[in-house]
Amino acid sequence: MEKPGGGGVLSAKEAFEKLEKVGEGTYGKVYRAREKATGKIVALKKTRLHEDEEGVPPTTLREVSILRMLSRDPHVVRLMDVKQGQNKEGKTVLYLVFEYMDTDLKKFIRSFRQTGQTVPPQTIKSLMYQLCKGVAFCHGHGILHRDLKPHNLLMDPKTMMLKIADLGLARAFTVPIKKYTHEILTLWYRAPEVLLGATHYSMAVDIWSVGCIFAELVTKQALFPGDSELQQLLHIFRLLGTPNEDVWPGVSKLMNWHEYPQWNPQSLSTAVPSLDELGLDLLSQMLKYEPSKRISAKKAMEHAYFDDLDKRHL
Amino acid sequence: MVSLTGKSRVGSTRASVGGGQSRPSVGGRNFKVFSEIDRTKVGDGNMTYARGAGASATARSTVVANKRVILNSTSSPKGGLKKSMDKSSGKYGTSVGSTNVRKALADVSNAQEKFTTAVVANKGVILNSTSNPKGGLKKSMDRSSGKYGTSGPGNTNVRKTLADVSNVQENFTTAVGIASSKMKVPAGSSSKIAGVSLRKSFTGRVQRYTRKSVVQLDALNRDDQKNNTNGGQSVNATKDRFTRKPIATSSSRKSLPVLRRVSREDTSNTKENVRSSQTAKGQSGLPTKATTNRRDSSQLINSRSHLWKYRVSDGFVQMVQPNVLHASSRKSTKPIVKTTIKAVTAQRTLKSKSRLSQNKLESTTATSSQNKSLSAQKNLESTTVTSSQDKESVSLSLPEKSLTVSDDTNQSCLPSGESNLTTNLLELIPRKKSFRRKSYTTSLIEGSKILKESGDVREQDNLPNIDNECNQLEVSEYIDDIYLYYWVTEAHNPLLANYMSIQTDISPHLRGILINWLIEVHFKFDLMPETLYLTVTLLDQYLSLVTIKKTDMQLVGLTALLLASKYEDFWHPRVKDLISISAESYTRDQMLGMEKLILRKLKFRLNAPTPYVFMVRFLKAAQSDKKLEHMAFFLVDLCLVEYEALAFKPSLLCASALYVARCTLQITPPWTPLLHKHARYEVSQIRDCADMILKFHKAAGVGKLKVIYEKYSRQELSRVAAVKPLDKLPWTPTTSQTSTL
Repeated sequence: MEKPGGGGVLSAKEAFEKLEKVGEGTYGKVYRAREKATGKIVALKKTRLHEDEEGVPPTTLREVSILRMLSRDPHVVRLMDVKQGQNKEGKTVLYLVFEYMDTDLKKFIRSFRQTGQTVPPQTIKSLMYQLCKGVAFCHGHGILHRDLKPHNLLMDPKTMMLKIADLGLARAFTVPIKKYTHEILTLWYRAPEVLLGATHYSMAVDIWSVGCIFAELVTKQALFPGDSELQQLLHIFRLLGTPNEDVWPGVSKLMNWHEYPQWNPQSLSTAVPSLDELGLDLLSQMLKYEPSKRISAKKAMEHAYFDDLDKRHL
Repeated sequence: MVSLTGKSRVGSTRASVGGGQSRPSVGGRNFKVFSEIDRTKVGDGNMTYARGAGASATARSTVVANKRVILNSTSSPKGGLKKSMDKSSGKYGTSVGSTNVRKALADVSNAQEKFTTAVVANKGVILNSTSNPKGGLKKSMDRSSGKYGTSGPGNTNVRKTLADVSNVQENFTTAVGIASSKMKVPAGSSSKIAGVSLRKSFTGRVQRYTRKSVVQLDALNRDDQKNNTNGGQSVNATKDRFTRKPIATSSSRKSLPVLRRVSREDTSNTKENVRSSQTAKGQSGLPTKATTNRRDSSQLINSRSHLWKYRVSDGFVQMVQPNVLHASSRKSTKPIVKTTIKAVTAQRTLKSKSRLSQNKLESTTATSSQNKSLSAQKNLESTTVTSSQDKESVSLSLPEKSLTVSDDTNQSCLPSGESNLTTNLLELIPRKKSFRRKSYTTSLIEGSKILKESGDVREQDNLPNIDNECNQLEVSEYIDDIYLYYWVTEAHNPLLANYMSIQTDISPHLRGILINWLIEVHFKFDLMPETLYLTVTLLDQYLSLVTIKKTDMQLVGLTALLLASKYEDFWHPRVKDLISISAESYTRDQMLGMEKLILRKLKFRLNAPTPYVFMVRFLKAAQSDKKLEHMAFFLVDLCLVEYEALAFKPSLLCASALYVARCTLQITPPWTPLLHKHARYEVSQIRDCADMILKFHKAAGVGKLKVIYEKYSRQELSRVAAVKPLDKLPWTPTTSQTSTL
């Protein structure tokens, strides 16, 4: 594995055959590729190191370091190798070699939406359990994901295994810089305390995202599809009621707090009509306004909603 | 790139169209302003027009006002530079009249550009942010390499172009930022290309035009400063009148009090800037250096302007703060100038942070403004003293590569006494601390506060602190998992005790010298303590894998610091700043190459358990006060420079250091059941390590590596270095008997 710089250059280019571009990660492009030595299909994430400025971006540094730490969990996408190479202009690029997954949860849900079928309840339960397990693993290692959304949850449609990916924003502080092409997507799964400008991030922001994904799996539609930060908040308030100091102590002191239209809370069953009682209870605990009251991923795995799930292979 | 070009074209077209329209209205504006304020300069006329445009822009924007402000600020530098280049390439001569027209054109075209920005918002923003530095550099080179020589008229053009650029940039600010543009113009007029006499000549010409009377070309610097001060005040007075319009049209109720607060602070800042400038001038006798200082201060003003603008829309204050700190880390200047710049930087940081505090308190009074001004001035002086003394230490600690310390700096600082230093530092650092952001690791493990409360309940039947629980509950549930990971990883990692055996050119002594110096560098860059421990960990891990030459030792150390701050901190020192403090011993390519090499060797595993994470946990279990905390960290820091300490795991070092600290401060019992539970060590297990640490403590102020001793001699760290070490540790009789057997 360890080779000098020159060898690294040849090794990176010769070792893999790029098959097709499959997406854009947080920093850089993602390709489906075949490892020539083994014929194995991998996901190759290419990141330029901007060596004419300040070297390796801190985000890349953290993502790789964190992925190295988390790779032993089956529900986090596995980082197999890291290679350094050079592109045509002689700039250094970093290749992150991941296990390849055929699809993601976004495509999975969309396929059901197109056929008009509902996702089978046991499939939803299995996927949600795996998601909670992966999130609990991350949180148990002190890692917040902060950008959980269906697009970042990779899936194998044959085995229904689910893995968390794209930890480029994973960290414990610092408000992310806006990327306007991503903004609309990530807004939908953003916790209300983030939208209201809370400076203290906590693991609860990931749980909120998990709750939104849960509802979307059931209805095949986004639960809170806002197209601006204000609209995102209003979507949330219309369903869960406009928060006040009684249900969320300290909310009126958050930086972005204003006077909002007053809505009363609606029952979650109006938004997710086909979910059973236990599922609705779990969902309501994931969508608590007060971050400290939101259920943790670890406790969610123990919720009665998952009692009848066969967890042996998960 | 295509969209950028398209946008530039659109801008140019509109500029030419706007040119025709702007003349009559500019004339009207000038007339109006002159009737109000007799001594207003030409620039004020343009500012008036800009304010008008800003007001209408504000009126037109509704919900998306915030977004547009950000978009404009992101795209403006490139556009401004482009327009300046176009205008200076042929159409306009060098007369004062055309200068006036040119500025007016800039204002008009920029006002119009605001409304075209949204069309290409998404792509434009990303492209601009990515390509801006290169574009700026390229344009600067174009201007300086071809059309402008060193002749007088050429220099005048360059100077005016620079002034135009600053005006263009400032025009994108809201009414709040207008005052800063006034302060910036004098700074912009100072250019390296132009000498002092040329600057005076330019000022004289402007004055002549304004007052329609003969002004002597050899005006004194003091007169310049007085004019600047008066100009600033008059601009503030004018601004108050115009501030009402954007407020009236603003849809947000909160903007009103925010604008008023900012308005008051602007006046205070004007005075402080003048004072800072005088202080800087007093320190360096040569006019050339004074010029350099002013140029640098223009960058500082620019940063401040950024902060002011964003504070109007409250939601983005948090976003801006990292940028401000980022900007401050970009500076690299000669040693003598660095002292002043560092002082000014510290001053501005303090002000910006206390301003954030004021926003939270929602109170601004004249009294608090004065107090802030006075304390800022005091902090400025103390920081200067601190910087200078640190610099002297640098030369002492690294005789082989000592930095040059200017005699002027020494003379200006020697008269200050130790008591002054102590007193001023006491005022300086506590305020900084209260606004310090949490590092990556601290955010993870601060959940152990709950642990402390739980410990109280179990051991002493006290009630837990509900406030802490409320904030940390979702973290505390995982705190045991997090620490389990640290313990497992520590057990899994190999000991680094004997890695010097693979090295032929370096020695434990050299390692100590390097780390002693890195601790000082870490302090100067004001990085998180966690970053220091990670730096040393990465350094040792790398040296245990790769044989290096002595000449690369410092490079490895600095690169480890760069990596640690990238991972752990929310900003990192610029590569060129790190190269600068190594006395230019390495190139950028060498440092970035070393970065990649270290990452490859360590396989990108940067999340090693460091002494810091264990110490924080153990201190919670010890229910320690500030003095014990500082003493414990002091002892752990002493271990960093001692190769001998690598024989012990980080957790054992921390447990032993805490034990020695408690003994030294005569806290009984020195080891409690709660400590035993969470530190996972018996007293008998830490004996050898504790004896070693006591040995280090006794030698702390005696040897050559004194940075740690000096660091912990400061008041804000409880002056724990002054505590006398024990003669020997008071091992309990039972343990003593056991060891005897």
